[in-house]
Amino acid sequence: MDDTAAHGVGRARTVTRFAPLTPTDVADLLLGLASVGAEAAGRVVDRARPPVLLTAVAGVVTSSVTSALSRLGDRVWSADRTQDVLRVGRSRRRELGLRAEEAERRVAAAVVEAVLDLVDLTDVVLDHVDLDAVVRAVDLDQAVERVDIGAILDRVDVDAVVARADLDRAVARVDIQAIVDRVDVDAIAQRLDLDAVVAQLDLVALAEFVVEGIDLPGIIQSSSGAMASESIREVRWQGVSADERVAHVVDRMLRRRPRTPGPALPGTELPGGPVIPGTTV
Amino acid sequence: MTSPTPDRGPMSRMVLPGPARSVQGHRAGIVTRATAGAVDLVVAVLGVALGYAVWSGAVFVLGPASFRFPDPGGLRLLLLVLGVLTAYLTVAWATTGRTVGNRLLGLRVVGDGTGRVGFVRALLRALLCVAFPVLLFWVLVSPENRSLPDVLLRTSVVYDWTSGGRRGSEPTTTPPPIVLPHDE
Repeated sequence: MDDTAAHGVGRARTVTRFAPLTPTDVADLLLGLASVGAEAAGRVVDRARPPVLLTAVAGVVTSSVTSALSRLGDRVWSADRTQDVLRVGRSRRRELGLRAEEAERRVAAAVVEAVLDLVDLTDVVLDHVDLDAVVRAVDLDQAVERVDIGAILDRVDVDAVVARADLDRAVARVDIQAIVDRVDVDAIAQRLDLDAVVAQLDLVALAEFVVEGIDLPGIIQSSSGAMASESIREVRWQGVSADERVAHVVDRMLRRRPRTPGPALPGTELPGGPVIPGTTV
Repeated sequence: MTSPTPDRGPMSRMVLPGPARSVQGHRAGIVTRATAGAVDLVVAVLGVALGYAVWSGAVFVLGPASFRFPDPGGLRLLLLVLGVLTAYLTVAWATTGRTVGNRLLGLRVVGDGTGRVGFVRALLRALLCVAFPVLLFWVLVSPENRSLPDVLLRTSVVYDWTSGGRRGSEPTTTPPPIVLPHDE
């Protein structure tokens, strides 16, 4: 096939304008031109009806021209075969081109990989490239103006992104305490206009709400009742002390643990320290 | 502006002295309870005496000439005193939970659970206490300071120095135990 291709390429040079002309092609061309000129002259002689001698001489001349023309015709007839050879050559060339391109890719990837292994590109860029100058040369405003943020946002499914994001893990990695430590609460508090806040409060209504909530009349009544008489309070406290002493004596007589009569009913308890009966209330 | 009315019992107790607050709601001992019973007996006797005086006055007004102090008899007078005492205790325990004696000594009768005693239970308790006052002394040996009527009727007598008439405001959690110095 290589021979065929080479032969085809050689034959194809006669029909491609880019191939250099061989001496044979030049000769064919000159001969062709001569035959065309001779044919034209023959037509002129036929129309002028020259003498027989001239006709004979012309016949001798035209015989060689006719043979040359027949060869030229054969070559023209073989043009179809030339075209076939040409197509074969073209497909062969494309195939070779594809192979070369593929080989280039492989080789280029391997070469770039090997080079990158040897060279730290970042260092190279940092050492030899003035990034500041590059950044200064970039008109970011213009670039940003050309970006259609709205279109980008329309194409982004924010919900899907948020659904894929593990916010709990992200939040767990956040050092809230460090953030809080950096917050100057005092400065914030100084900026608060508490007077304005207080001015908006309905203090009278608030006081009424508090009084209603704590049942102030009930407290006054209870306090007056509880504090009604110092003597009654003393009697009560003496009674409590006597109860405890009698119980203690009985418990000791029965040789058992001191009784702890607990509360009898559900309710709420107020804080109170341990009681030592007999002490001043 | 409406809000749920808070329990006024704890708020009322805030005005009490600190040591007294710690015993509020605890079951009372024999001394205060017996003293309160004695006071109630005196009240009942005074009530009967007042009734006797009123009766005598009525008899005197109706027939001054033939006036003589009525003589109901000892047994009848005793039964009258016990009857008045029973009625008085029943009404007092079923309503406010405290009699005059309880109020003086800072006590209150409460029913286990809700704190309410109820008329029937108050009546039964009054009958038991009036007919068999000795049952009160079970408080001496009871680790929970409960008398036999308390045990039978599921009631308690607690310290309650507040003057409010409501019941059921006693603490639930156990306060610090009462510390008593040794006599030695």
